[in-house]
This record gives sequence, C-alpha cells and structure tokens, in this order.
Amino acid sequence: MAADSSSGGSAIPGRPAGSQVVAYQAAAPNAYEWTEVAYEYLLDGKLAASIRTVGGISTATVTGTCPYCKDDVNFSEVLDAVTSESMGTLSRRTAQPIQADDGYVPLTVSCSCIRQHPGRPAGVSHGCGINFQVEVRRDA
Amino acid sequence: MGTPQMPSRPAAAPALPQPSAPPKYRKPAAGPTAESLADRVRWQELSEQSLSSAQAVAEKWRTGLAAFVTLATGGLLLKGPSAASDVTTGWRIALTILALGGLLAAIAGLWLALQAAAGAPAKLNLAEVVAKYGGVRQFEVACALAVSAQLRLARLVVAGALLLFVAAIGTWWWAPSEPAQLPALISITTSRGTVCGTLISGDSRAFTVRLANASGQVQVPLAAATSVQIVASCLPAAAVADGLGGRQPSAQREGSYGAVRRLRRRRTPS
Repeated sequence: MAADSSSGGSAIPGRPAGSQVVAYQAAAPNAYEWTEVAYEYLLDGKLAASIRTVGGISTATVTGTCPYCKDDVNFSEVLDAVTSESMGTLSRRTAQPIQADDGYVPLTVSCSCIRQHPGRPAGVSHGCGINFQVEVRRDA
Repeated sequence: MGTPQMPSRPAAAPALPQPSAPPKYRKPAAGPTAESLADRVRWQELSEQSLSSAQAVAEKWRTGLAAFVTLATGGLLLKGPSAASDVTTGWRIALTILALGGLLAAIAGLWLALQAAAGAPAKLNLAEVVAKYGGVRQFEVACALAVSAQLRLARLVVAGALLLFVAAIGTWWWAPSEPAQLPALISITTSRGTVCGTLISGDSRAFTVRLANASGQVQVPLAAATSVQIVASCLPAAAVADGLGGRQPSAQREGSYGAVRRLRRRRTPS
C-alpha cells in the first residue's frame, strides 16, 4: 500500500517538511515507507532506538525525528510483564515479547508528538498518525 | 666466498578478518500491521496490570495455602492432643520437632503469602523510582516481580510445612505407645472368700484394701489370709476363687468384708 505522503503539502515529494504543518496521516498510517525512512534515520542518527534494562525490567525507547512529521517520536514501551496464566501460577513467569533468535527485538513504534496535526481524530491527543517498525539489538 | 645470504624473512600472514559485531539496527522486512498494533496495545495493558494481577493471584494462593495448613493441622488433631503423651519419649521428641517445625514453617509461609497479597505501605520518591527503575511503569512491573518472588517463596515454605505436618501425623500414627502402668492390685484369699483391690496399708494385724470394683475399704486380718497375691486384674482371680463366675461385679464376689457385706445385706430379702 502506497503512503499518502503528499498530505499536508510537503515541499519534498513524499516527505513533508518539518517546518510545515503536516496533516494527520490517516490514509496509510502503516505504510512500509515509514519503516524504510525510519531505518534510514536510524543509520543517520536522526532516530535512536535502544533497550535499557534496569532493575530486571527492560524498556525499549525510540526517540528522534519522526519519519513523517519530523517531530520528536518519543516512544517508550516496557518489555516485561508479570502474568497469571494457568501455567504460570506455579512459578514466576516473566512474559516477554517474542524476540528474534538473532537478538533483534522488533518494535512497533507510533509517533507520539504533541504538535497539532490537522485531521487528528477526536479523542487522540498526540501523534501524527503513522506507525513504523524498528528492529534493534537487545544488547546494543 | 660469496656474500652470505640472509634467510628470507617469511612473509607476514594475512590478517584474518575480525568478525564484525552485528549492526545495532536491522531493516525490517515489513511495516507494522493491524495485528502488531493491537498486540502492542494488549501488551501495554498486560504490563500495566502486572502488579494488580500478581497481587490477586497471591491473594488466592494465600487462601489456598491457609486451607492446606488447616487441613494438615486438622490431621494432627485426629488422635487428640492427649494421645501425644502416650508415645515413648524418643518418638515424642521427634513428633514435637516435626509438629513445631511444621507450625513455624506454616506461619512463615502464610506471612510471606500475606505480604505478597497485601503488600506493605512504604514511602516512595519519584526521582529515586525513576533513577532505579527507569519509570513508574517499570517500578510497577518490578513490584509485581517482587510479589511473584515472595509468593514463590511462600509456596515453598508452606509446602515444607505440609511435609513436616504429614511426617508428624505419620510419626504419631506409627509411634509405639508407652507400656501402660498396670495398677498394683492385691488379691487376698481367706477361708470366707477373696478380697481384691488396691493395697492401702498393711501391718502386723491386717491389710487395708480399697476394693477394685466397689467403693470403700476393707480390712482383712492378717491371720485370716490364706494367700496373698499381686495380680493385674481382680476379676479372673476373684471368679476362680469363689466360683461365682465373671458376670457379676467383683465386689459381690469378694468375701464378707466391708462393702461386700453391705452389698449382700442389701440383696438379701428381709
């Protein structure tokens, strides 16, 4: 599915300019384009992803430039949880998201910027609407 | 004499390529999907409910463990608290160690389970929480992990207590009883019958005997006694002695002294 990257009247085709007001992305919020741009940003240092383990609890953090609206992504997700499933009642079970065997943890990231984006649905207080995928090494 | 030739220096071995560390990031093969977004939302809910979920589980476990302990201690009381004094000293010591150990372990385990379920009020500082755990959500998950650890320890301790209780019950069941202290009964045969009971006193003139199966004491003159025996039970000896059989109270079969006389007078129609 192609991304509707022209929304918001961006200066660069396919890329909204950071200084311009960018419309809320509702047509293609999960387009692969955002994942590709995010990967480029990760390599360029415009975006950073890390997994930090403190006190036995791992937290994934993605900060930097949003692939779409250029605002700060500011994403955080706790990767550990304590469950009470039937198999877990006999011993402590720390459920963790499925991790690739090669050490890369896939993260589904949503932009959590607080700038106003025209077209943002009622009840949604933040974000420009896009989601992208990031894969980062746990020990990185 | 030619110029000595220097041995050729062996060529340096080509450096092996060092295995490079895998890159920090990898390009995903696909973008996010509706399912992955839904999973992320569910995961966040699961993570946020870690503490309440763990405490709810701990509460159920605390109740269940208390029921187990009640069941085990009820088994200990099956034979009655006075039965423990019937076993021999060595077995009684083992029984005491097992039962007290089980009791202490049960108290400790239930205490841990209660602590896991209810927690304990404590003063917290946001800066310290963030510095130590990275955030409040992480702190809640860490608390849930602590609850799980406490609950796991409580289960182990209570399981040990149950084993001790079961061992105590088994010990109690199979411990040999102390031999019963048989009463020292004396059977005095005279020409007029047999007096059987507990010897109260004896001197050069008479024996004083408390009748075994009747109230009161009788005095048997020493000269009247044809034989004196220490017996375990009064009934057979008396039955053989006076030939009355074993169905009547022995007091009615024991000669004509004291209470026996009174009984006979009461039975004889005037």
